Amino acid sequence: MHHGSDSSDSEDDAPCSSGAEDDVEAIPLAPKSRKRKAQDDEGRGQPIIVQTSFDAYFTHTSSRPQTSANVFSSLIPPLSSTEYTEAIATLPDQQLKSILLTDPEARNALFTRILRELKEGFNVLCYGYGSKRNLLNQFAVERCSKVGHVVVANGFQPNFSIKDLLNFIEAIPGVLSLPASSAAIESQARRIATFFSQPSQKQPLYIIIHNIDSPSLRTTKSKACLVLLASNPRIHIVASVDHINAPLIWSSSEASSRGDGGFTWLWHDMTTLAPYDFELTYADRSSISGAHGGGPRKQRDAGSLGIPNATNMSETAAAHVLASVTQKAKKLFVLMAQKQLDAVEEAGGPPANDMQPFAMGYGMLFNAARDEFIATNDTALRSLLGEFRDHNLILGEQSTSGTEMLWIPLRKERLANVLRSIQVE
Amino acid sequence: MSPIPNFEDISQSVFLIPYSSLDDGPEEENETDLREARDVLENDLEHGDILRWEAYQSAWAKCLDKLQTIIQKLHEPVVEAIAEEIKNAYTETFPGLPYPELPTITISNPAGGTSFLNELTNQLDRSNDEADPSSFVTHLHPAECSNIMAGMKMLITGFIDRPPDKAKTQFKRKPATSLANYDINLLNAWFAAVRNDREQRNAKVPSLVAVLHDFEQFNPSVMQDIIDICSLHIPQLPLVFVMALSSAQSPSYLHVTYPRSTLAVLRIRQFHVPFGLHALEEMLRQTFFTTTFDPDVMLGPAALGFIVDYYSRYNSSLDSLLNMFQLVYLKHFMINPLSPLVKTTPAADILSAVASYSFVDTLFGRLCTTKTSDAWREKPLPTLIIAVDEAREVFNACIRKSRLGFELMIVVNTSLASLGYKSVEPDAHHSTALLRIAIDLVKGRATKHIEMLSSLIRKLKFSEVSSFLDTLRTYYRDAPAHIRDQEGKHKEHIDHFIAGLPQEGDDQYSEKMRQLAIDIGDWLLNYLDELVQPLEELPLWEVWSTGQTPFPMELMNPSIRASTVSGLLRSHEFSDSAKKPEETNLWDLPDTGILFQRYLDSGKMINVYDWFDSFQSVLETQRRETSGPRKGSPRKRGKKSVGGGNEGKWKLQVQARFIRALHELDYLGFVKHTGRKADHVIRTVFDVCDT
Repeated sequence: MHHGSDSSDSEDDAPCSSGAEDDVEAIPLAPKSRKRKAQDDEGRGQPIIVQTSFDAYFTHTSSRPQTSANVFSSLIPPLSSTEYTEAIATLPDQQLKSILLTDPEARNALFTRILRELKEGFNVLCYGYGSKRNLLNQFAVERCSKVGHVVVANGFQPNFSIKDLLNFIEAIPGVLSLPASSAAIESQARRIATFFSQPSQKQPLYIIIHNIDSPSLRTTKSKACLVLLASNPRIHIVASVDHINAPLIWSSSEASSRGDGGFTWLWHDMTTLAPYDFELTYADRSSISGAHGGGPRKQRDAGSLGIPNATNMSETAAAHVLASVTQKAKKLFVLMAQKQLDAVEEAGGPPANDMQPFAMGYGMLFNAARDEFIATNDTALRSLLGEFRDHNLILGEQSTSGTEMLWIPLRKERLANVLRSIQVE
Repeated sequence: MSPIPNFEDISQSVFLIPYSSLDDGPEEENETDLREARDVLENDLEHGDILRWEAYQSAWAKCLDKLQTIIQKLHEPVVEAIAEEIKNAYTETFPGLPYPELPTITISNPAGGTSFLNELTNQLDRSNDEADPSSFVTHLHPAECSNIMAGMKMLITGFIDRPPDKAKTQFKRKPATSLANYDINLLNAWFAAVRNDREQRNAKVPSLVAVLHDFEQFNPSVMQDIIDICSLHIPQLPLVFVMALSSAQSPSYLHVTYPRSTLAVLRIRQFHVPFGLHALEEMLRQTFFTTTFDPDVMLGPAALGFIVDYYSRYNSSLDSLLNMFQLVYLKHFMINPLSPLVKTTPAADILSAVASYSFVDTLFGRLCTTKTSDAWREKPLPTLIIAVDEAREVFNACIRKSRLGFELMIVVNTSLASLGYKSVEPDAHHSTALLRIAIDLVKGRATKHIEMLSSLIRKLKFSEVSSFLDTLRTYYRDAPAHIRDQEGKHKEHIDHFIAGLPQEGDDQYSEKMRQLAIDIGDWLLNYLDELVQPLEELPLWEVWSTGQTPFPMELMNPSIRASTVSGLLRSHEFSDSAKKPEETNLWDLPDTGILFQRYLDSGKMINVYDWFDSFQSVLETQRRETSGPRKGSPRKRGKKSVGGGNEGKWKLQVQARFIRALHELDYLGFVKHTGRKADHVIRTVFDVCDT
């Protein structure tokens, strides 16, 4: 049905299969769409041989991937966060919304159903395309908060940890009155579970977790805590998942066991079609892999979270810093920028985001600065650098040989722009 | 109402809405709950949702109770054997061993679930009289034993948390003056106190039982060390390890994973929990297909077929089986407006309420068609109530007969199978005779089984007739009293057949015998035909049977990928837009959908620039199409104003939209970044999405 319009569309506009450098396709599109057309013409949908995803995988894997040599980040300068925000702000809101968002009746029916299932000892997972944050928050406020305590956790935030969740649950009056054996998260979770199994505790606890598939909640420890809470008959969990492989987090016995050690998940399709803007607030919009979760890369980046976009200072930010420093400091910056640009020029190759390889040693900088009468002694140079370092316009790191290496975290063309604007002044 | 937190606050990752009641006392929880969760169906009764909920709760409680009793009975022999084994772990040792062995019990429980271990723990607790427990039990979970220190600590603190002697309070341990809590000598010291106390009172010294849950998940190298340490301290410390395995008994996980040096210090006893089709058969037979129990709601063919299929193919755990039964019940009562009638008929005042009009109307329509007696015209409501009660009686009588028929068929079947008749054995679909007959019975297609059985009986060998009749007689003798009374006529038939058995020396022996076998076959055919009636023809049958209502499979085994993909590619089907799928163009989709379509069109590896390029061209089309004079939805008008002037701005916007869509796809897990080629990504999904 749908492919008919798609293929015709791609033939009309030919956005993908035309153009000189466009050989993205390992399999050319045209014959495929012609075949599809032929099927449509027959009018009877079922061909004898139906291509499955396995076939597609092996077809793609058997041939060498042929792609063009274009490099996105070299051909298109990355957006700064300001540019990104401005561009997205001019976009009108997405008009296409799923029925769950537009029809209160459908929504209420779903909410009622979920509430019933929770009451019967199940826990609920919501899947489907689109951000489910607002819908679940609405569920929390409109329904859960009227029957019990509610804790809402944004699992997608990089700084989220299960400890935060447990700490917030402990803020419920009475939980802390029970003794805990230690401050470890397991005993915290155990205490919470004990508290809610007391017969005197009338109100159940509802835990809403946005993105239970986030890296921090996938760990064995977090899972052990959550399962402890989930298997308590008076603690109910409603969580959302977005990753297509999210079901792999739980073994089938974890997912279906009743009582201790099981989540007893029930799945609900909650397609909202809403954009994931809030979930991706922390994504680095200047990088194509900026939203990639998990993996060692993210772990490393999480450490430097204090410095937003450390490797990617924007031109305006640099201009602001430069406007407020002394002439001497400005001169020092120009000197460093020039040297760094020369180094990048010399190295050639595709422009990189990371400027660290083009750093210069402190000794070399000092010599150059002395020659230019910018700083005559070590103390003076350090005080000049201090201002820049505080604003992350110059970064430094000890090299293996012991000398300090300094660099400006600005991409080549941006640095050139900044330099030009200083020189114009 | 408590204040609503600001969910848009990006600096906060957790929010708490504490419960605060305005006026209601603590008792009102249930009422509030129901008031909040109004769920009115078409043709519903007044307060139908509450009535349905109550009916559901009583029906399911009854069914669950029965199911749990069956499970418990299945487990009982194994539980008792294990408890016995633990009790005798240190009294029945082999003589003449070079060193003592650590008693280890492996429980292979492929059905999963924790109910078995709970029963075992209960059994161990039960055998302990309050004053002197014969065993102390602690539980170890894989998450707590990530290294040897944590593992030992959990093992030791699990025991020493209770006082060693009769003193009710635990004495305070001073960390500075006592051993570290991962040192096994601490356990030794504690146990010495226990032993002293017991010996003074001439009581039995308890054993120390450690239950290791999900044993496959433990790190083998950590466990090796823990086992080594423990084995050095037996028999001073009477430790017993109970390992809960979810893998099959053979090949044993323990033998495959652990080296001989570790196995040498263990004395392993293996047990297995009944599982598989046998467990399913027992649960179905004793709950839904027995003359001794009447479930409030009978499984229909669709639900039963699904449950058997899912259990035998995907997840053969008893817990998932219980979940499925519960979901069938829940769905039955949630979608069927007539379901409050399961046990009781509402009083006339509820039926006469205005809100119940359409409900009553439906009932009239269903029941009044054939009998248009005067009573219906004069006193419609009381007559209606009587008719509903009647229908319930009729259904119950009919289903009881069917169940009797089923039991009889199974008896005949088993006895034929034991005589070696092939056609009644399990077929190629791994479904046993019992399950096959059960499914056909609820489908109303039991006739073929009846005919098959009857024809086999007609051809029985002479020597087999007598033993077959004995089986039938035994069945009637052991049947519950109400069945014996009800079916006395047929019992007499059997007695008559037995009396008619010709003597071997009879000159017409073979003719008489053949005739007898034919008579028995005919009698069985008629009898079973009479017992087994299709339920669908009874009035209001769908109140007591789930019928053809499909099982809500997506609740247990959803296709997340398919849902996400169709959300991306066929977004319009999820919204209430009037657009038909044929009318939607690629550029009508949200940005992420467009980018995803291009993703599907490409090869295994995608060059991000080319991807961007193709995305851009679709956006160009979108801009061209929407700025044309013919159309103008609000969204598209927005585009036009953007696209109106500044080309640079448009470029930036396209790039921002691309990055946003790319990040969304990344977030959903469709993209894997490759380090091999600059700015390339690898596809993770190869689904053919447009079929």
